[in-house]
Amino acid sequence: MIEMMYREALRRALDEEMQRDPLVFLMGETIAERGGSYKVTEGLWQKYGPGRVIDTPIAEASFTGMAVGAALVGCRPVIEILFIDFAMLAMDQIVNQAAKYDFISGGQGTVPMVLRTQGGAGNGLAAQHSQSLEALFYHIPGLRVVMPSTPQDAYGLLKAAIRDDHPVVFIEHKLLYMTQGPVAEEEVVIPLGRADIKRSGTDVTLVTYSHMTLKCLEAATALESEGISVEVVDLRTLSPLDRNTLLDSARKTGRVLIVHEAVKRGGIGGDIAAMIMEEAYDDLDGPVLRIAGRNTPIPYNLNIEKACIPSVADIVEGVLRMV
Amino acid sequence: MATKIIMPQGGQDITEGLVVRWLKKEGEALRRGEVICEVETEKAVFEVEAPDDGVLLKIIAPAGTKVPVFAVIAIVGDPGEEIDPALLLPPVAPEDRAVDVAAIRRGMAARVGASGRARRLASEKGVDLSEVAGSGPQGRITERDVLIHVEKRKFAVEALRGRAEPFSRRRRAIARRMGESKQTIPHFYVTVTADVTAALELRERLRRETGASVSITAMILKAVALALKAFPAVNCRLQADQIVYLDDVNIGLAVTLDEGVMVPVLSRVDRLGLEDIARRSKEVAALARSGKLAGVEPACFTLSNLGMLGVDSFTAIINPPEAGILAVGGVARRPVVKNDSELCIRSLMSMTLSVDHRVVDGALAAKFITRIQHHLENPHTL
Amino acid sequence: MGTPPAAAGPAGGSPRIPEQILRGMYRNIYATRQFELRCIEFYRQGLIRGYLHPYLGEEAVAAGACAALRSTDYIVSTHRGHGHCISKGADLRLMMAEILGRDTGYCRGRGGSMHISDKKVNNLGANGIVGGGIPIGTGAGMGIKVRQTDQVVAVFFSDGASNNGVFAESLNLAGTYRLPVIYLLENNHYAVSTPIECATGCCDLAGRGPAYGVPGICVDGNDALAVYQETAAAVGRARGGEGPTLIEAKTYRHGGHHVNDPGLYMDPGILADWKARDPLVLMRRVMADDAQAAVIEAQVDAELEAAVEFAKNSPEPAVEEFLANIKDC
Repeated sequence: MIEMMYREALRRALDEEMQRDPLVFLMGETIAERGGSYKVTEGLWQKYGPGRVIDTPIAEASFTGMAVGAALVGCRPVIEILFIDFAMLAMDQIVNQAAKYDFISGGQGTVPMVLRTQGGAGNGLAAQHSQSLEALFYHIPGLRVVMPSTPQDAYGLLKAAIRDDHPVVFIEHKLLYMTQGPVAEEEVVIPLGRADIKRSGTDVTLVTYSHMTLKCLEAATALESEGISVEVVDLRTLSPLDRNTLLDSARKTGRVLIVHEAVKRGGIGGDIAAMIMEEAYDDLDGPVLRIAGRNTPIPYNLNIEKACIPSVADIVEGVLRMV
Repeated sequence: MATKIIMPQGGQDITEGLVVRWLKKEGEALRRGEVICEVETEKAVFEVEAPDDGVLLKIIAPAGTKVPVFAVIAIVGDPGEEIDPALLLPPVAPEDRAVDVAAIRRGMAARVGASGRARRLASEKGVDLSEVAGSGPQGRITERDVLIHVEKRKFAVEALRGRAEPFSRRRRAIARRMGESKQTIPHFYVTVTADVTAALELRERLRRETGASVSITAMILKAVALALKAFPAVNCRLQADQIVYLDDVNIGLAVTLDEGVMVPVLSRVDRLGLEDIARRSKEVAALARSGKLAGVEPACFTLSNLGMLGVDSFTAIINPPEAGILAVGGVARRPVVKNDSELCIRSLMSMTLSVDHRVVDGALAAKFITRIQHHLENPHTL
Repeated sequence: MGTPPAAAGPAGGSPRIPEQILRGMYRNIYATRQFELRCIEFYRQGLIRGYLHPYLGEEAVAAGACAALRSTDYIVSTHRGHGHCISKGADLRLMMAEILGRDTGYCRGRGGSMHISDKKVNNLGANGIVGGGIPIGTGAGMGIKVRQTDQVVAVFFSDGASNNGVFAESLNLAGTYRLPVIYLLENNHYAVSTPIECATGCCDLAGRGPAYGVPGICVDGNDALAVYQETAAAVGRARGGEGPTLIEAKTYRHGGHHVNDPGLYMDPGILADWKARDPLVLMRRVMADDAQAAVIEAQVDAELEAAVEFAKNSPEPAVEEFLANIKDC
């Protein structure tokens, strides 16, 4: 195992896939010579040249559309939208075009593109640069949505996403880029659609993903000293959802708490809670509960920003109320 | 005025920086805007400028050291200026401290369910919501509940001859702390009487010979410091379910105010001389009486001296999360039996030690307090 | 590659521009310069977090353009918006408080540098989305037409935004409906770190106007007087019902894209050439009177100090109050 930063793990995945398949190419703003605002593509332009690592103008709608087109004629584009908030400019191309082509053409063409982006609050970047918008993409049939929480997961899942023939929205988190973690030395491809039990437990199941996984693990450690055994299930892929792992865990503990940074109203926690209660009602010891972001845009001031998203203390309190 | 130069923020997610080189030496003069050092973060090299005309008083982080963002790397100020130790304190750590589950539980219990209207009314009328019975769903407190409570409260006072007053913020804080301390800490007490005749003679001699003013409190502080150094197992605090032993011997000094008590902390008392201790304790006491708290280092022990108010002895309540507190009474001239049969008159002072029996056992407490007694009875060891 | 225009004409002001306007422009350029430098200092000290996109080097564009507007005219700004905000008549105290995230700021600490707006002077706001303000400004123009007032809108945006789809659509709409909008393209030759030549096949950005029936003018963005004159002409046309104008103001950043970007990709020689035409220095030369300039500077310095004092002493938004007032809608 090598110790690596999340962003380095992503770069390694891009490098290996570009090496393996000459039809993989990258597009995005300042990803070429500059190596990307979050340094994920650092060195790749130098290695693969401007033909395969392409700087775009600030034109999200059109370069996302370009990815759809390039994918249709046999390439595997990996585009970067610097902030998920900017993906809103490209919603037609993502939702109406990429997600639907395979279906509306009767299977005549697939769109094997990856849209890499990042979201999340915590740095005082305010309302238009701090959102967690995965629910919008989760809601669209035809899109796969992946949100890795560790460097190893980021590495293995990005490789899988690039090899996948569906359009994949690959959502990173701005606070995760510089986190460190062990990554396998040998090549690893982590299949999409498989959740990961990051910590085993027997009393409560925490269902979570992305940056909240780290907070859930911290809460679980603190609760252990109180004699409460917490299982942390990291979804990794949101769509398609690994229902089996979720239901197994729900049946094991009987108590489920869903934790996500995204706004509670309309967040995927509601869908997952309903699914668990529909399928495993008789195995539950109480209703599935949710800890999620407050129903508000993210403010600029750091203190009130912090109050808008779940903290470790919020998660601990959530569990304490259930046991 | 001395100001600190900090490692600048170089990027949203940058947590530390490297001091590359200093362009100025300690003692060198500076002009406002002049570049005094170069620092490097992951993204780039930054020049750090002098905020004002003055002198580079002290370099805290030499070239080649990595420090966290916002940590102090130097102090600038007027030539010859004394540097306030408060400037050298590290920045307050972010709130990613160890998770305190007990505190979260307490918070949950304290946050009684109440409607927004109930809260507003309670705030207006100075009502403590934890005293109000809730009639809403799941015991939730409604506005009506608060109104009923206010009426009941008025009636309760009218039945007596007297005056009702809501808790002031300071009073409430003291009430909470003292209540918590007494309810959660198993206090254990040990009392000795110290013969301070020699100590008083030393004090008098110092005053005559050097004009120095050394109070009994200063001598006790030094004796306590030496005892803490000799018994480091007492110099500890309870934090997040761990016993934290501090390297520094910092001691809190209880200062009585018009309302309540303030406990400024004197730092590294074991390294200070008697005159310094005397001077510093006078300073913090004066500041405390004018409402300013000076000295906020973590301490494991507090000294409380009520001797000047005429008490013989008393037992003090530990200041959580400290391990102990020493309660000192007044000095009185009393007859004492010496050498088994002689009667003489000595100056005696009663001291009672309270310790947290979860971390300090009886035998240790006894050894600790008798060491203090030893130092006071042999003042040349101070 | 972004070479600055030839040296400006002789100093001494222009007889056609009133003294008051010249003084106002100098005041705004100087104030913006000092304000930005102060913000950078505060950012390094951790008083400002998140993003900061200094307007250093571009001050004349906002100052010149806003000098041609009435208080009742609207502006729409960008993420690099402090210059527009100040030149439109912002209260420096409320600006500084907002950027320091205080409850007393323009947006009560909710918006910060990138979202700062000032209703009193009809500044519809800065925008964190590149190009996000262009359709909004166009819409303000439509609103003016519907309400039948004689106001106009100045929409500021960058060369980067001019490559975004909404720019083309907005220009087309404004041309179609003959909207009273002045599109102020601040061409600072970089979109973040991407030079303009690498983001478009044709660097004549003013030339994009006529394709949509909108006159396109190119002007030296570091010459506040020139910006003022062209904007005034465009405002006159808009108020007269003749529709929109696209003004491309050529200028250059004195630093990177944001405060943490050292701008290593910028050619030092070209940067030096542009710095030699510092808009502050150019405007200073136009001021006939040294004493007058000094008075203006002293006033701004005092105003800025008061603003800093006010901001630093202002409370941050209270967390309980914020949570209790979440609209949840």
